[in-house]
Amino acid sequence: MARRTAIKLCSAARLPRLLLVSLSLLIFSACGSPFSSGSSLTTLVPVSTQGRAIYHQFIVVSVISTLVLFVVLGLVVWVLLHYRGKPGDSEPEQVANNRALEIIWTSIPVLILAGLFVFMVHTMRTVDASPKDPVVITVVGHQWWWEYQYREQNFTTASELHIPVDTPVTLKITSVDVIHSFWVPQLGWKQDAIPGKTNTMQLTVTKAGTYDGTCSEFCGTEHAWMRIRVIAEPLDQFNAWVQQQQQPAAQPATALAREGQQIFESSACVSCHVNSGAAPNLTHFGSREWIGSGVLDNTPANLARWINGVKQVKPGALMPSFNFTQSQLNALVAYLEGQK
Amino acid sequence: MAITAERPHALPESHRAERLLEWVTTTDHKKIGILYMITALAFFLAGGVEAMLMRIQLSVPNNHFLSPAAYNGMFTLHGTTMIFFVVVPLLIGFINYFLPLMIGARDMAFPRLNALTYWLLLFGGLLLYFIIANDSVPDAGWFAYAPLTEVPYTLRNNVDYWVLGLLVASFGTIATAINIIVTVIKERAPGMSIRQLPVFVWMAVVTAFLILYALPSLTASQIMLLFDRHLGTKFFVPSQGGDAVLWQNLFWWFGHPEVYIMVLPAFGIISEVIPVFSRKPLFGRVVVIASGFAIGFLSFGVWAHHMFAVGIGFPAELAFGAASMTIAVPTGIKIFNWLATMWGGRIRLTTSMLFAVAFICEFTFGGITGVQFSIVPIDWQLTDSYYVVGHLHYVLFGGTIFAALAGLYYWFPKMSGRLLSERIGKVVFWLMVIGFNVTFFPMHILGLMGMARRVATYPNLPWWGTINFVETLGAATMGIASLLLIWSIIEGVRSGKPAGDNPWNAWTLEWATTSPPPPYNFATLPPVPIRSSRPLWDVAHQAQPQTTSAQQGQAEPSALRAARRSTTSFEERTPVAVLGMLALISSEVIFFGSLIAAYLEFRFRSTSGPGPASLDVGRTALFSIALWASSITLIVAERFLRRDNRRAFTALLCATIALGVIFMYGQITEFSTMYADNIKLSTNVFTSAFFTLTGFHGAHVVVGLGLLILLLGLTLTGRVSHERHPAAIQSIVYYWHFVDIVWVVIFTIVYLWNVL
Repeated sequence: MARRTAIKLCSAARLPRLLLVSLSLLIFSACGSPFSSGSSLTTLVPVSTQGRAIYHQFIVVSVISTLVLFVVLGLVVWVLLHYRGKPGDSEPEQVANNRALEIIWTSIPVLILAGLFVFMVHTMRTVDASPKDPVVITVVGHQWWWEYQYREQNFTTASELHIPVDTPVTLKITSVDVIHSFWVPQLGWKQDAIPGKTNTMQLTVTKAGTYDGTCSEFCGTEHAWMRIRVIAEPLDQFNAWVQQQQQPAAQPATALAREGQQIFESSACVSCHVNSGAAPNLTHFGSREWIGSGVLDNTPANLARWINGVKQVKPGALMPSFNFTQSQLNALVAYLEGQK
Repeated sequence: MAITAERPHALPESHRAERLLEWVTTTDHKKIGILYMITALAFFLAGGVEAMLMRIQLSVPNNHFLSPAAYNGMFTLHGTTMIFFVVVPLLIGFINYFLPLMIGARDMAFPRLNALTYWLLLFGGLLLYFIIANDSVPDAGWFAYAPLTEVPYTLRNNVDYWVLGLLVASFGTIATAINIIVTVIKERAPGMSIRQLPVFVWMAVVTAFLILYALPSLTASQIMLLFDRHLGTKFFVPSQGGDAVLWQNLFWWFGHPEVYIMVLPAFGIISEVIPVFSRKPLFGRVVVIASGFAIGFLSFGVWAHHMFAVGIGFPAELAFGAASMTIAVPTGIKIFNWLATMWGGRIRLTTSMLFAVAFICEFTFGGITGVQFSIVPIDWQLTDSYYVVGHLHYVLFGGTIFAALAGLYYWFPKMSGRLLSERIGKVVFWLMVIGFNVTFFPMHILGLMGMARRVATYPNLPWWGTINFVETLGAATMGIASLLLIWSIIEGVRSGKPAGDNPWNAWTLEWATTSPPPPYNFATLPPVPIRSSRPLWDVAHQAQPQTTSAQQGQAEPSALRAARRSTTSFEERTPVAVLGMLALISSEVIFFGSLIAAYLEFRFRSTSGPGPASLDVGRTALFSIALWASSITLIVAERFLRRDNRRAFTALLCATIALGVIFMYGQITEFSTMYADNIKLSTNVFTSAFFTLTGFHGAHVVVGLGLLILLLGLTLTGRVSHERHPAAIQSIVYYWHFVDIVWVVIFTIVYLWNVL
């Protein structure tokens, strides 16, 4: 065997070696650097207890997966190195069965899978466990924005979801139109937002921070710009934020802003943005970070661009592009950005 | 495709036109197979262009190369095209061409039906693309989740064309499945037992059964969607009591077996290619076949693993997770069996074998990530991300397409009589493998980074742009490889080296005839004596003792004889047409099953408006008795026909028709009374499900009545008799009984239940 191997190596080694080199080059070129800057791989940096349980399962499964993959790839390389034929070879021995081997390669996967199943049940119990006295927030998917209803606290907001740290949070996820999916990778898992159905997602975030996600069930034209931003903050900060949200928005302070308020209230804006649920409630708009579910950052310039040019910025959005004059626009922006 | 260049004189124009026309009128399974493959190739180009447009759009962040609507259209068309009009027709093309050859048959069991199925598929595909002329592209994704596809959210008729195109193609595909099953049962060469069938043929049979029991669910759900959109039913409209998740259940009942419809024939191809180029019999042949059946069987119990984020509940998630994990076992067995086949062989790395080896590597990777998705919590995190996009392409491209390319390089010489260039083949192979991995491996990383699938663009987050750009380069490499492959095929057809009958020294029956085979396939049947699953090997090694066949797991001769005897008697009992009808009926069971599932879903839902209480059970029971009585009269009629009592037969046939008409009268008056009471199809979810279910049954009764009236007419004019047309008569009788038995189930669930 050894002698034949040596002979074969000269001609046969080329293919598997190329295969190996290209594979490893690929792996290292494509993912070497992002792995080192760990924050990019958001699914591997969970910040919730639920997310960590899932992460541990994923790591264990990935290690086993990699081992299995290398066993198979190793066998492929081995047989290609050792059993290459050439023209004129006689036919090999016609072996077609080996009961012992077949039992081994049937039973080992069965055992691995049985183990994974038990592990899976354990993880699911951890993730699904209902906490005592959670903060309940209703998350409603719309084409193409998220509405956050703090029903116990009696206010509704959009754009960013604020949650307290080290406190159990229960998200009640649903939709008013088509199916969406609420996915913030660092929170650890996702649930679909389905019209006519409410899904529950338990979260206990243990690290304060801003975590971004996105709608992950295709929901129509602007699916890509239905992004999610979760701001997890210590309980006292969260409570302060809640108190601020419960207050009515401040009265406009400047003449320009007052003019903006008049324009806002006398134009089509109010029909969707005030108490209709068809578009985000704009009370406290000035304290939000995003416009259009993540398509623009909330700056006065971007807001002006958005109001008159929705169809350029987010073509599928249900809001029409307006045709305000520059002075009207300035007034509107001053009013809205003042709604802290 | 035949080598005709040696003909002494150029053909006159009229002959050439005739030869082109022959491709339209042909019923030759080989020509139809080639038509399937050329069609698949054409759609592959379309799907590839769509993929390239998507990759260009995604190559940099915040790109405006395509509008969001156009991007959504591209991924919907890409998915639909590649699944329904590339992979499936390509594999059916291989099956069409080689299945009859491999079992030593002259053609498929139903050659004209075979031609029809091809044309249905082609026109289904054209219907899907026809809507582009109307400046509107289906854009709800290939699984078209309701309610996005419902009227308020999709106002243009693009979804309707998506539905119609797939409906037409599905009818063709179901008919092909029936044809495959009947062909394998009835058309095997004399002396070929089912145990000696090549593994490719076995996998084709499992695939056919999957098509038969998976596709009707798609058909039923698409019909409900079409009704929702145009007739005002509420099946998938949650705001009016409908259920968005019902679509997903019905769709994935079809959709997951569909994955195996696309993968099992690939397993079959690999199980032919690897033994031949390793010069050894397939290791654990019986186990490989059995695991194919196990996969097919299990595939119907795992559909909800596409729905773990839907909130289907802890018990269901556990059950579907466990079932999905189980599929890894038979799949793993196959991979180890292929490796064991290569072990100790004399491997010849032809392009075909290279693709087969690449298949093992890529498919294993795709399978392993598949196991990861069967673990519910991992699925909660990674589903609908680019991790899934990577996974599914490893299975369908690295798996199925690589296997199909292995099959193409393996069988091209048989189809054309010429060899494909091995030199170009190896270039194609390396470009394909490198391009494939560069495109799809990084998708797993993007998934881990949180990139959701189906986004038209993405924010400029660290590394996202870079990785996406690399993927686009990989896709371009695959595009170049595809064009090189097509050029190589054209070159091969025109001026490839003559192949001879058996260039690979292979051992199944397709190599026992000329390349390309004559229209009648074989001069004699069987072309060579069939003593094992490798007839040509046996011919070449006649001198050797028969130890090999014993080692191949062939059972003891007595058991083999018994098996052969039992199949022979089954063959004798059941004519071709009756087998076809039985297969069709079993498929219809799933169609009605889907409608019944929808009815059960909504029976308890409608809190206001008409419900089960609005139905008149007693009245319907009376009319139902008429329908069931018609089955008895038909049985008696058939008895008389067998005794050649034509008068009694005619009289009882008339009675059967009359009873059927009475039943239909009952249904029509029931419907009209309800409509008069303002209980309509569009009233609420209950009436939607009720009218659709009973209405479709009524439509089946009408078709059955049509067949019975046809039979009566032919009997009266003396053009049909039991001696000459036993199969036709028996088929009609079976269909009528089926319609009656379905009504037993529907009557019990819809009517009887209300009074119990």
